[in-house]
Amino acid sequence: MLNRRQFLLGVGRGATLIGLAPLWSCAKSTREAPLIQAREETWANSVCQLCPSGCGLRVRLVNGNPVTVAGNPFHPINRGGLCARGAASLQLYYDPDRLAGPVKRDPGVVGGWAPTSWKDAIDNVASRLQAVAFSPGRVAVIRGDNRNLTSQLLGRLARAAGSSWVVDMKAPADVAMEEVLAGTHGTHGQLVQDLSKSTVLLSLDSGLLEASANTMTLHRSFADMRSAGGYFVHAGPRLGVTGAKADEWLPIRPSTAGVFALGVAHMLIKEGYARVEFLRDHVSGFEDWTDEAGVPQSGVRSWILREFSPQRVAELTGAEWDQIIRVARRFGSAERPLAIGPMQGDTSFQTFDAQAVHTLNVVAGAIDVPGGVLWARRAPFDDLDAPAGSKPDVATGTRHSPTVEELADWVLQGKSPPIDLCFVHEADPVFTSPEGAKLADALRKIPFVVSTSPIMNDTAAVATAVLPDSLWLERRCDSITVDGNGYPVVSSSPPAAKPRADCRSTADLVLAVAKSAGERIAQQFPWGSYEEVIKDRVELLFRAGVGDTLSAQHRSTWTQLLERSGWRAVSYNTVEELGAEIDKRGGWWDPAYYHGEWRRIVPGGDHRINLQAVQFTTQPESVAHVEGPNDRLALYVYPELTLTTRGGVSLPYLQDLGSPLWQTSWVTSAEINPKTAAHLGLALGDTIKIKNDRGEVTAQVRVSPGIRPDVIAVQSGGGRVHGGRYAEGIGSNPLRLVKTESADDPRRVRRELTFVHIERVA
Amino acid sequence: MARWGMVIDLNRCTACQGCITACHQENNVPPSNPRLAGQNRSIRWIDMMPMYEGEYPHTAMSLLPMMCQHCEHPPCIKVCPVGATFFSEEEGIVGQVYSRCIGCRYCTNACPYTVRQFNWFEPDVPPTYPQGTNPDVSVRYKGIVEKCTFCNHRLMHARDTARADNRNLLPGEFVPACVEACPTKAMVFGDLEDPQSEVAKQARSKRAFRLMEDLGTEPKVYYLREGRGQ
Amino acid sequence: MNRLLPLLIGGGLAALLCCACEERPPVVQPIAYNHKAHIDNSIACDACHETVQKAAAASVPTTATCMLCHQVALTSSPEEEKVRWYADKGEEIPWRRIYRIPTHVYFSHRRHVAVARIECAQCHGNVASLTSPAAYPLVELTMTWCLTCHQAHGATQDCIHCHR
Repeated sequence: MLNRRQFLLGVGRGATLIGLAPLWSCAKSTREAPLIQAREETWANSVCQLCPSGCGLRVRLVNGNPVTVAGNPFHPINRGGLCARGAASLQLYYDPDRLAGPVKRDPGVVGGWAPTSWKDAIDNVASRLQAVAFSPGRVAVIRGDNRNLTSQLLGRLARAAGSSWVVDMKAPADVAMEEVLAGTHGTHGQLVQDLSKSTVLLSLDSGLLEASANTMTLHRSFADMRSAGGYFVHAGPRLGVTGAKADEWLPIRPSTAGVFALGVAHMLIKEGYARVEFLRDHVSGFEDWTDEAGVPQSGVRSWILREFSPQRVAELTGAEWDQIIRVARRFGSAERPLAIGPMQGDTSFQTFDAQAVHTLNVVAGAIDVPGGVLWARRAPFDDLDAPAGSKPDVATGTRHSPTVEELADWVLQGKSPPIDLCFVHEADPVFTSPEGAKLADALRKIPFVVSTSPIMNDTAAVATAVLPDSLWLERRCDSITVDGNGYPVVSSSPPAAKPRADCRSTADLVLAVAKSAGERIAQQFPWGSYEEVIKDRVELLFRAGVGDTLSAQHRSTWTQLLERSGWRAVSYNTVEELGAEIDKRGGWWDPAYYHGEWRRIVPGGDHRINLQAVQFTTQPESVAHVEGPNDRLALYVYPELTLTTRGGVSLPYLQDLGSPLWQTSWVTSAEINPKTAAHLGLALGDTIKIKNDRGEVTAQVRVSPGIRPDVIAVQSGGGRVHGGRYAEGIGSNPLRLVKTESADDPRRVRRELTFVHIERVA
Repeated sequence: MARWGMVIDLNRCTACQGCITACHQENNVPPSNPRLAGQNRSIRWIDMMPMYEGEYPHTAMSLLPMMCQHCEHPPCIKVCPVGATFFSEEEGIVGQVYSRCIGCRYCTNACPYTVRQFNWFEPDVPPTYPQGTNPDVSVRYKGIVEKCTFCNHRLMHARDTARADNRNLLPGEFVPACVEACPTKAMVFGDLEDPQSEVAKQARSKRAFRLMEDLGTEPKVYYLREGRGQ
Repeated sequence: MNRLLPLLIGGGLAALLCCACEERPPVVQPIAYNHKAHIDNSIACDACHETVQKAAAASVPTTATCMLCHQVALTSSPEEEKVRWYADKGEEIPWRRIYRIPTHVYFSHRRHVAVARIECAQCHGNVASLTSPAAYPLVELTMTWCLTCHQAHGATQDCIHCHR
């Protein structure tokens, strides 16, 4: 027991002990008051490169740091708006997993990558290029579908080295459409669907509102159509956002979009809605004819009438025959009907579908009319990678680009000439191609692979060197695109913010490499820097004497009138002024579309659309029937808008958004019909394995009345192995399960109907 | 005196979610991660509300962008024990004072639209992100409730500029980040008290409806029904 | 255990007193700037704090502004020499902040100076009389203090106009 004295002594000692604490903890508090920092706010322009739209950006910077990315109100593609991806792009600028500088593979280093200098990197690549450029086909370029000068410079580099291995990463649907157009029109001009003026829009498994390219123009045109009272029908296995915004959803079987289109065409022809004058004046191969030998030939018209009756189409597609007739009548009697086919086509897609939808539009006369399919006008200069002698508006022959699957086959089969040097830019084919694993093996076999990705993504992980491109905010950036009205738009902006890494614009990289790769290649690149290329293009724009810098929307008819009368009220007088105005406003455009330019739409021959040119290679019988529900479902993979950026892998805002249809994210979702779910004993949120002989994928179940009972719909975009902390190991990649092998389809354009088994895991 | 409100035309909204990212960027909303999302604790000041109707194959679905409705009679402010949230009589906006919030979440429960979000965890932000925060908006931390504020920091800047120039606010001078970013111009924003404003005119449309009107909260976010006939 | 208890009690009391202290550390400026000397030379507040009429935040002068007069030595003070030293290095003088408001508060100098025409001294105290920098703010800028003036002058008391 303590006495009073001991107690008081104890209290005193305790207080003294703690009283000493200020000496070491509060000593820290004589830390200095914060500096008074001026807050300087500035604004800059840029051009987004997260998808081929190339929207104009307005970037707000505080003390030199970008804090907000918004849309440029002058820009015709986005008019001040911005999709989810553009607004999240700041997270790429500040990404903690961005590469700090160029790296080269080095097995002696922990992690396998050692920093290298730009000088060494350029010298290495240039000397390699010089060594192989004398024999053809040794250099390959794999580039994304963004349309910009850097992409063109890379293509030019490959061609200068005598190689035609310029692989454009495009959606399978785009590749198929290219083939169709090359056959029927003899050109692969850029198509624009003039949705805003159409009165009845028919979506044939289009995934219109999930499309990851031309997003801004499609969404705005769609909204304009709806505001004007347009009617929208969506036919497809999955409701999705596209179906949610439709007046009617017809749940047809996967792989039958083309059959449905021809069923509608059948009704149009039978009931007299086909635009006979248009068909007579501008189309060949529609009516039956007799050839030179006197043999009667069947035209497309007879074939459609014979094979695609409503009853037969109902049988094949799973729609009701009276629905087909009703939709066809509404479509045919519309003032401005328009049909849109698949825009992505990752699964269950055939060239047949592209051909069928195009034929339907031709029969309905929706070609080159307001509210129909337009042939976009081009910017008044050649692409830098156009083959010598080809003219801008008239691309002769079927200049199709090889697919990445073809390249993989070539390398793995050891074919000659072997590819020695490969560039990968604004693309991640090891992740996005169904043959990604095979492509990775092929890239490992190529002696030198250069990736320009700013982040170590799945393709960069198998490269030899990663020479990071600057982000568009950090450099001069450009985009050569078209808007929703078919007007050419050339966007260009100077750097908006300072680089956060030791990166270099790939355009400057290409020019530096070309300069050091020998005379023969160097002479094809007469520009010292990216800025010089831009100045060169600006001069061509000036000399062309059309268009103006970006401005508010105005009526096309007025512009056309002015141009045709030789009047031009432009905002510049000299080349320098044009350049300065472009930098200030964001770009240049020519807001006029001239209908009836048949020499542009079908160059060559008799300027008639040849419906017979591309054989309908797949007969309707071979369209698979899917009986269900059973535990073998048809796989339907669709792109999730938020998860399909070109090279922006680690954007947590986007990963968190996922699909607007579901409130959960950071997982791969699989939609299953309630009846099928009940049959398989699955509930919302269950984890399942989706398997077939090509592999397996893990996903979370979403029970949805917006999907056919015989189909399972899985979103793509997840399942990266590399790509930073916000992407690695998140979700699972369903593209791995998709079959692309086909003996009669060497370009692997077709995506076969894929079947899968489901296994509940948790 | 103003009554700031919004009209969202569902014919024009295509559920692109551009509004959500623009809002999060403007208001320094912390990024989420799989753990938070798995617990349904991602913070979204504005979100798409999906509503399925009908059974297969007659399925229909509506997608509504939903944020704080800035009710005229907000249930949330009545239950706050510390006065951390309030209704501004001059602007009609339901605002928040983050420093007073004690994280009791009564307001989150009281809100019938479930638009209030609680910070369950300290925001998981990499060290490189803070340079990119918008200096006009507070950065919140663990234990605080947050929600859409109609970007009232923009309103303050706009009022400041207008007052310095000795004039009234021009139409369109103050728009929240979501309205500015909407690519299809589906959102219209303005002063509902001004009968000539675009937002007041559209709010009087036959297609206009509000959510849960029977509760008497008098929300100031109007939606224009989907369908033909403008 | 018996011996430990008084130690803990003593420690606890001392800790409470320690934590109750609200002392902020004194602010030390890089140069012992003399406000009175400059104001006596007819330099107005906003000649150096330029942005008060135009922006929300008030600025401090750049080294270049100081060098407009101080290119040559105007006094024999070693403090004045520091100005030229910073100018030679091409650096801004690292002035420290004394008047601080929380980040969740919006305050606009422009509104109070250009529109309401409030004298600087009313909020910042008699800075004109200082011959060396203050270590602490001359006026404590609490919400109550701001609201008192707002109430008296019929200015806004709506929370939303200051809280963000």
